[in-house]
Amino acid sequence: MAGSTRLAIALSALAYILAGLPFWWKLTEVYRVPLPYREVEGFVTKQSSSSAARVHCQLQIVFFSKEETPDRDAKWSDRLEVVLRATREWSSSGFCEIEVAVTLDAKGLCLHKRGGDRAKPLWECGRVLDSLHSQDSTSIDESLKNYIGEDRAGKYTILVLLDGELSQGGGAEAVVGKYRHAWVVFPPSLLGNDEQLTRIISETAGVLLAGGKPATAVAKTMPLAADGSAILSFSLLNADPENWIFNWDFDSVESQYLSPVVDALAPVARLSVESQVLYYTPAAARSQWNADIRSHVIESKDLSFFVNANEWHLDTSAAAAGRSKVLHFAIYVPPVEECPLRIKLSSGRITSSASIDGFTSPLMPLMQGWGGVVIWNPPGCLVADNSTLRQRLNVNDLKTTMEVVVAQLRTLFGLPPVPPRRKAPKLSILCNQRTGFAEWELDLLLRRRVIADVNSTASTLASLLKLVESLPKMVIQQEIGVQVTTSLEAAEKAMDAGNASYQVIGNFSATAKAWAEEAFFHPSIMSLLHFPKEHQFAMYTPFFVPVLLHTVISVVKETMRYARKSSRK
Amino acid sequence: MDLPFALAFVLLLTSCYAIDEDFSEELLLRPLPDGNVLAHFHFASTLPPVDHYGVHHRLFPKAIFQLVRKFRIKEMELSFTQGRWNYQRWGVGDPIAQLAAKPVGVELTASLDVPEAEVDSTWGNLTHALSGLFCASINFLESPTTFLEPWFSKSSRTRYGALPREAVCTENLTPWLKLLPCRDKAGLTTLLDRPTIYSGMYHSQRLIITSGDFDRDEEGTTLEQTLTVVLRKPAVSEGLSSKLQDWTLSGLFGSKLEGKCPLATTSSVYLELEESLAKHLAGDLSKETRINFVDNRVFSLSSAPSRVLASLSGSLLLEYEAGTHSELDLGVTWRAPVDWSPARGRFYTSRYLAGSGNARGSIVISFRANDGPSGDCYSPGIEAVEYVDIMILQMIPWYVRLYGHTLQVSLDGRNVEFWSVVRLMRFTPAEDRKAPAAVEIALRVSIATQAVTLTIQYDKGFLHIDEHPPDANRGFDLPSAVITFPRCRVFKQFQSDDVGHSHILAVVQSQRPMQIYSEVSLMQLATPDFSMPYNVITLTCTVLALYFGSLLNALRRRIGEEERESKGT
Repeated sequence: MAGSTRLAIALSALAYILAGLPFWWKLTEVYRVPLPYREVEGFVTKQSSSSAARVHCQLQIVFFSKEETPDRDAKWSDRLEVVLRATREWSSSGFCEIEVAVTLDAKGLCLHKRGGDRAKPLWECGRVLDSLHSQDSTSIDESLKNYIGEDRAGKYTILVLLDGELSQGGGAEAVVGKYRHAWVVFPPSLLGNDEQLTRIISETAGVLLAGGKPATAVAKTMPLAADGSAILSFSLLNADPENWIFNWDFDSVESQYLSPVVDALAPVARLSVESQVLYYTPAAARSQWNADIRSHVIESKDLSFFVNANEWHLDTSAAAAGRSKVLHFAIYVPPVEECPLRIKLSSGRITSSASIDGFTSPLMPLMQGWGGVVIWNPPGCLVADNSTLRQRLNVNDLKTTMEVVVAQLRTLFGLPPVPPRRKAPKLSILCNQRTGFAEWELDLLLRRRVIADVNSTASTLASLLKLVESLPKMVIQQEIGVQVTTSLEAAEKAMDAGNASYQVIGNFSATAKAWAEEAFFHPSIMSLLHFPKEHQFAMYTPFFVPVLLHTVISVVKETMRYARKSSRK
Repeated sequence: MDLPFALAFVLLLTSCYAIDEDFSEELLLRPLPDGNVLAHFHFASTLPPVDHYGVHHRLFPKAIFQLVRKFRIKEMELSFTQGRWNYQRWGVGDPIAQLAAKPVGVELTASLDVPEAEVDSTWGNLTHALSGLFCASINFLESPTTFLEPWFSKSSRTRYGALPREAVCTENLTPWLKLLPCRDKAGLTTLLDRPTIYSGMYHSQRLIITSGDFDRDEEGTTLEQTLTVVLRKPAVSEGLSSKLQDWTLSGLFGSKLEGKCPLATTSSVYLELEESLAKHLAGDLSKETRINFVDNRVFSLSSAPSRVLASLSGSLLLEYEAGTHSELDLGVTWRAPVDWSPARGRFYTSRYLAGSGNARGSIVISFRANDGPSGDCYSPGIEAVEYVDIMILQMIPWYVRLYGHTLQVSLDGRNVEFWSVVRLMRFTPAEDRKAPAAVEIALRVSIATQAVTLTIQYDKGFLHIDEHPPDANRGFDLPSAVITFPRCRVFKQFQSDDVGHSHILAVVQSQRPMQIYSEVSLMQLATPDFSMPYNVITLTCTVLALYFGSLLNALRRRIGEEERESKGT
């Protein structure tokens, strides 16, 4: 029948186009490497559900007595159980999965209690402890280090010395050393008071494991670049070199004060140091003359304007490449007219004890690339007559300044500027004079960094995948897929590392973060973000609209004709 | 390109190294024969070797030191120039003109101490670092089509590139000033009033780095920053027909010179009188009495110089110490009309494009003998000079397709046998989109020659649509040819040996071959209609759609039947 042939022609033209559509669609597709959507999603939920990391910690509490203890075995057994329960609460807040073992080591008596199956007692009974009498805390700390022996990240010891003679004033007293142990001097006469005993032990454990702060209270990020490095850039700012010009012996300062700190922080962060001296760098905040203390005073509220972005050309480092992080530490020498310059704290107190004043404004951690500012007032504020005073600051002149700088660095990493002291229960923390960071603090920082790295890996990967999903026309190169997989694998390993050493876990988490950032900032993604949809329409409409119009009209016409014909018959 | 001489210059400087860093600021002023005033600022920072001195500095800019260490820069010269140096009126054959005259835009020469295979990639990274440092598009020099390895340099680790298109402005000056310890806060830099120096006739700022061997670090690093401006003659006061105008520092720059940079070891201002001008003073000169510089029959000065240096050729340098005068307002008042001509060199050089249309043309480089004094052109070892050596380095972009066989030389208007004049030639053909063509020619012509002309013909290539710059109709800049007269050494020898620590005098005394940059030429290429791709798509689609439509209709429609049907209804 003639009519049906023409209908078939029109329909076949339409069918041809419809059959070609998937093929054409396939042709417009761009290369996209398949990304592990499900795995990333699973990782993100896993990571967010267990906020505390799976980094492993061991805590060994030892009750040590040279003499026989007055109490019986059964009583001690109960007491150890109580202590075990009290310390267990710290397991959730110290960024680590904790295993506690409690041991009593007295003459003729050795008792072990374990919390958890894997906790092995690390203490062997019957050791002989040298006399600790007539020693100060620092020497006790050193003797205990030799005595305890094996020293490994994540392994902590609290030694409860049941010795009445050691205690001053007869009360209980705890000291946290600069290594990975603490000791509590507990007079045997107080042994009846179990509540006091558990309180002082759990407080000590809290400091040793979590810095005495609950995990939620610390800043989430560290002042580090994606690859875990940062540059400490020190600038000596001569506000006005007309009257005096100060210069410094930075080589010695670096080797004496900064290198130990940088070396100590090496497991946590790769830090490098550089320095410069700048001139004509006035501060942007005005000070006021205070006649009472014969000083110029800057209000603490003005401190956020102190940094003069127009004149302080601190610069980013040309040596660093890519997305590196520079922390600027400015040592500010005020002009003669403003010497001495002091800061009025928000509490109303004016810092006036030494010639040094430093501040890390609360804004500083938020400001990119800021470490802190220290005001260095020349002693006596004396000016040489007629000529310009030129002086080279040596290591001793800068001792206090560098102490402030280390305190600022501690603040940046989320630790208190100086280790705090507590009155009730009496608890003191020894400082590491050389490096500024105790070893248990470094462990804590490493654990925090691992958590921060894993969190940031999760959020970076999640947002990357979201971005990729939202732009279906973006080319995803093979390299990005590899980077995402590598990052994910490393992050999983860091989370499930369990008993592995801290160094290994730290490496895994750093790798995870670095690759996640690398994938997110891949140049191919950055360049293709702005490929407009209008472009595609403009390309295809001149052909497809006329062709489809012809086909559709012909199909409609032929159908109508065919219907008319068949109804006529 | 003049490595041996630059190295000799470095050695000259190193001989006066102290153990400490050193910074000096100097300004040279010179009245020009056309009434304009040349001001040449010269700042130099020297750094003792790192092995002795360490990596922390008090004066040397941190950014430059890091660049030198990171990219292992042995020598680098970067210039930003606006305007064209007028060789005929401002001189060729004196050391300051040699230093001041640079091609318009950005020019970068760097010699890097890295393995040969890494030179190109290091050069690329260096251009990126510099473009970040100076807020300029130096990073365009990364593309292999924009730089070359000059043959005459004799070092395979030297690269040369130029960007004639780059506009120079304050945003390039501010980072340059930031490298000076006093920035523009004190000393000579306070004269740098931005509107004044950018409204001058010529402006060229340079950065020259020379550092010693990296393995045997014995020479330290020198950073020289120079800024040359030719300031317009002061507005003509009434009644004076003389073309020479009186000027003062405050009249030229808008402010007097107050004090010096407290960090500079030398801070001096020089007034240079060229030999042909100094001859006019000779009438005042008798054996017993010295020239009265403050007040003579040709001019009077506003203040007396602290010392006078006379070169062997007769030019004079009057030195003023910036520190001793609390306020220096140097000025020249002309007493009598004088006329003098600068050292013009033997040849006046120019380069132009011949031919018309968008298809082909030829490049012509011409030398015409000057009739005036040829300047201090000293050829070592040869008493009677019988011939002149000329070296030409010309970089040509790949889209200008040169025909090597059309290279012709003519002497005094007559074509001569090519190899009778050309001693050496290297012709590197261009590779499309990969490398520029380089023509390096060494000529030797007799001293009596009046005119030399080199001609080469070319075809203009076609560029892809995305290779055109945004304002494609403006044309394409052909980089300057670099013309060197290797036998003609430009320097001035002073009678008194005592040049002190002055860097400007050291530069003036160092022997370097005379070098001239040709003009930048603008070449028109066939510019496409940039909407063409879309037009082509639209046209093709319409034709295809028409074809499809008519084919479908031919298959489907029966005209006779349709007519019958329309009649039937």
